Amino acid sequence: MLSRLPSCFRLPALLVLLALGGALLARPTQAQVQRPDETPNPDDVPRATGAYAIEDARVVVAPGDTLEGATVVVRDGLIEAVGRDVDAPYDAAAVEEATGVEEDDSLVVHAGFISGLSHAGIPQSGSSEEEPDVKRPGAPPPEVAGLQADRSARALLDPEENTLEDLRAAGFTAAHTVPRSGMLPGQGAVIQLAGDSPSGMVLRESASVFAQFEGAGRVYPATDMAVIATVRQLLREAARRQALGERYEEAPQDLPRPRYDDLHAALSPVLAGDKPMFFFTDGALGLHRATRLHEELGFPLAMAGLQQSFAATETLTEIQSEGDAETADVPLFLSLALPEEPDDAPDATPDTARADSVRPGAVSGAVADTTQPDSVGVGQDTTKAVSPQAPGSPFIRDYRTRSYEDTDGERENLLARRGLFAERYYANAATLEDAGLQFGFSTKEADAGDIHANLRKMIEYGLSEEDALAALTTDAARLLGLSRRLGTVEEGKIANLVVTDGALFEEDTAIRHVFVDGEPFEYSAEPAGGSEGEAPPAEGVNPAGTWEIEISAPGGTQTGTLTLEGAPGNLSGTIVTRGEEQTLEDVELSGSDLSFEFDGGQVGILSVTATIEGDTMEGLVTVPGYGGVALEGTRISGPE
Amino acid sequence: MRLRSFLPALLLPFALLLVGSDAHAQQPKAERGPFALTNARIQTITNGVIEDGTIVIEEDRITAVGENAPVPSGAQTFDLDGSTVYPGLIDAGTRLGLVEVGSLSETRDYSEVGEVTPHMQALTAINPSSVSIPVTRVNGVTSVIAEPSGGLMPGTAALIDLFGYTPAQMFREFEAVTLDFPDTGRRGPWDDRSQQQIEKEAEEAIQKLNDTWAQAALYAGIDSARAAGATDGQRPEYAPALEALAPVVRGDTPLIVKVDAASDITRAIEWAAEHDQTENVIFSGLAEGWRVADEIADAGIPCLVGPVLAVPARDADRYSKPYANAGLMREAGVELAIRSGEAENVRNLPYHAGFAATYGLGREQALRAVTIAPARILGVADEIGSIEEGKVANLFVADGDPFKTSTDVEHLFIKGRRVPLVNRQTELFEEYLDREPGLEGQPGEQSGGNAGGPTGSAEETTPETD
Repeated sequence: MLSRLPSCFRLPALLVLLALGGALLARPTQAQVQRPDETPNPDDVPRATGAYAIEDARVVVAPGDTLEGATVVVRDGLIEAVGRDVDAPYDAAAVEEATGVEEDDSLVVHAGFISGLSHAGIPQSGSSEEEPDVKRPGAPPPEVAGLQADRSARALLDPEENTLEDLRAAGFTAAHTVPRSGMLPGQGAVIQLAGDSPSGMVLRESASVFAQFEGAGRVYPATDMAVIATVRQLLREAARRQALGERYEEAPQDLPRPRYDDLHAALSPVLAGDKPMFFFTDGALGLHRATRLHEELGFPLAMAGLQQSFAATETLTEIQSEGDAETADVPLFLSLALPEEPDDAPDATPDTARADSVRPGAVSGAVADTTQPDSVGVGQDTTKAVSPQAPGSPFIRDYRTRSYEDTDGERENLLARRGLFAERYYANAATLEDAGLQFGFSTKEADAGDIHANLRKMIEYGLSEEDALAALTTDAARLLGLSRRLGTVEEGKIANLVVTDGALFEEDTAIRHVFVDGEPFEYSAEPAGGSEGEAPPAEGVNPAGTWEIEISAPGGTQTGTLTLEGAPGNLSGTIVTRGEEQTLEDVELSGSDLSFEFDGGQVGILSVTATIEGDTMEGLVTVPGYGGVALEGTRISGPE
Repeated sequence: MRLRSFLPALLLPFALLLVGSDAHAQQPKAERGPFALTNARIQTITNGVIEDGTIVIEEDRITAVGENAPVPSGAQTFDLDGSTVYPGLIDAGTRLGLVEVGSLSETRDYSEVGEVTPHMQALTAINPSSVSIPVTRVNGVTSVIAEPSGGLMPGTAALIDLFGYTPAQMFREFEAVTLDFPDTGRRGPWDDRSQQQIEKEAEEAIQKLNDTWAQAALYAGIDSARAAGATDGQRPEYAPALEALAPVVRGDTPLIVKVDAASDITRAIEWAAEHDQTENVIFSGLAEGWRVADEIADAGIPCLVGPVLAVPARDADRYSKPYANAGLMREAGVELAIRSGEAENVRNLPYHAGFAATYGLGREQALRAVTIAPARILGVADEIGSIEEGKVANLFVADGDPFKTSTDVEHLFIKGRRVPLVNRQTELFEEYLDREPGLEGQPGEQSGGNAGGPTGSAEETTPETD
């Protein structure tokens, strides 16, 4: 008899029999037999081909170089062919033109974006770590002091980390990624933003030594002073260690054996000029500090962040054009994070006068201001100020009114100043562009979802679209030394592509496909969420009111009272069973189907689905570990 | 097997484990013909019943059927004395030959790790020496589909005849890729996932199915282009899973879709239509097929229904719904066959059919559902499924209605060979009948102790029905 039951029902019966007689052990436990592999493996959809063809597309080969009606063929990770007279090979999967696209818009193919600095693929370290007990805070162990230049980003890479996916969705396909936390967190690696294994993702291992002005908290180096001193000290020590080592190699006799030191070994390529020390710094001050260190110690420098570089364009121009050709190029990567626009500012959208006042070159005299960190005040801009007498004055604008009696005016003035200040950040990229500086972008601080809005803002404030695209692709590739492999849509380059359904920097343009190493990722035009899935509540169905319910529980029928309030889409309520009141969670109405959950005490969270018809409902209560029991309800009052 | 005494059936597996295998020594061999079965009542299935006729078997074929069929000289003749000849029963869904002892993972070959493994061919895993095969034969079952399970696309099922020393000898020219259609029903009372969770998982599985299908279609397209002589491009890397799916996409290999819950059946019908597979799919399982029988009939998708001997899918359903399922579907016009879904109990196939017969399908239709109907659905009706001249001689002789447990099968022929009806259970029966010395002096002398199982079993059970 037992053997006749469908397998799914055997387990409980078996358990009973097992209790009766141990001999039944010879029988299989069916649950285990039936589905040995319940967890779906996301990677096991096999790929039919490694070749893809994007046909009849607008191809932006490089910024300013566009082919109309061209075909791009990707094969096994490389761009095989680009051109108007290219035919798709028979084994290529056609990259479908997005449905729902405006009729005359074809797909637009760009080179994949490159981030000059990010933590992509590097998992956050657990925040629960207790602070280590350091015996001598003045001379802590290197890992506590944040001196971990011997760590490699590759060794920390996790191909499943979330930011990889987020950046890909924003069109980024490669990034210079660095370890997190401390003043010398480790060595950066240039990686592809997708891959099966860390080693498969790496384009260039150990591409830089990452540094930032970040103190170690309660141990040395705690302040920026100490950070700078430590950089200086480590580089000198490393140089000395190198010299000793060389001498020992030549004539080891009678010499003490020099100790191998991970940190010094990691820094020696920086000393030799083979690898840049890659500084992250937001402010103008940090930018100057890094520059000073670079000038003093002579190591190759790269910088990212640079949100206040509008206040340091002279310095940047100087270091990018200095000296011999070898060290001339200090790669700069501008953060794609922007301060939020104060939405309650008196005039939140830039009018012409306001934009001109900060847009370099638009009005004479404005450029000079931006190079001076001290001139961050409103200056000559009289159109902005709330009071014509003392624009931007933080204190009394009207000598007959005391400031504490004029808080509204103060507030308004403050917001106006904040708005103006934010605009300098928005115009930062344009400032660098006008100063003739070469730069790429960094995604370290930026939220991947904001990147395109921020780019549009930079363009709105004067950055040319061509330069914006160059900073994302060709310039970034050149600054990272990868322009032979990445940055353009040309034959033989790595197949990192971004395919959009319109002009890249238009607001309603969506990224439809991203290729990383020839591997396609598809995106829907509409961002998921919102309208998807949920059916609108059916006409006339309003579950609000008080319901008397009956639950056919195994131990006998239970009655209760269900009270629902609010309108469909915003329902809440309570349920009373056995004299206990519970609040309903996740109350949702889809069509005439109501669903909610509540705490059933000992039995766990009960989830209910019910169909409403007029003043009756019928449905199912799901009991964890048991299954479903029937529920019936009748409305006894409401809706009002 | 008697319905009311299930204890012996429970105990038999241990008996199997306890006894050594030296009893095989005197195993009688299968004999080759020619044979003549005279004085036979012949249930031809396709041409009605011949009350007193003769069947001639030469080589692997039925060479003559009829009231006055001439008996060739030299033929071994069996006077059936009015016993009935039936075509061999076909079970359209089992794990027979793919598992020996369910609790020993070493003997479980029906489920491969991974979700998409259509290139796992059941035929390569069939164990021709499985103890369960002779046990299955005694009830008249001569052919079964052995199907893999577990995961989204568990593998490729194969139709086999239940006699042969290699899988190739047993193969009956039908293979189909199986698809375990993503289910939104609970798998049992212990399944405590929330409804949202179930739907989400099913949604993901459908997405995966569609992704895989798209890749398979692409693979098939590329393959066709290459075969048509395209030179501009390269042959893609060998993708075994897609290679197995390509003929399904083209409609050359059928797709068996395992689906049970009513809403899932509806979705599966839609899915098949969307993917141009309505002509190519065969549904299997269909525990709730009666709920959507009209839809299935409209779609014209053939169904392998079963197990019949099961409890209802929903607590609210009548106990008899699984028995009545096939009848209700048939009434709605669904083309169907019956499957047991079993491994070691495929021998119960006639009782599955018997219950379906009693609960609405009718005896004649039930008999067709385990003979000519599966043969037609699987496209092998010109070879097996009925007693006709020229067909393969897969048939058996029974002294009564094969759907009744009291009926004995007297002779069984597979591919023209008369296969002895000896099996592990008859051997055990012989072994423990008239024991000398008996159990005197044993602790637990009365049966029911830990060594008493076989005694109880032998006393209450006849070998033919168990």
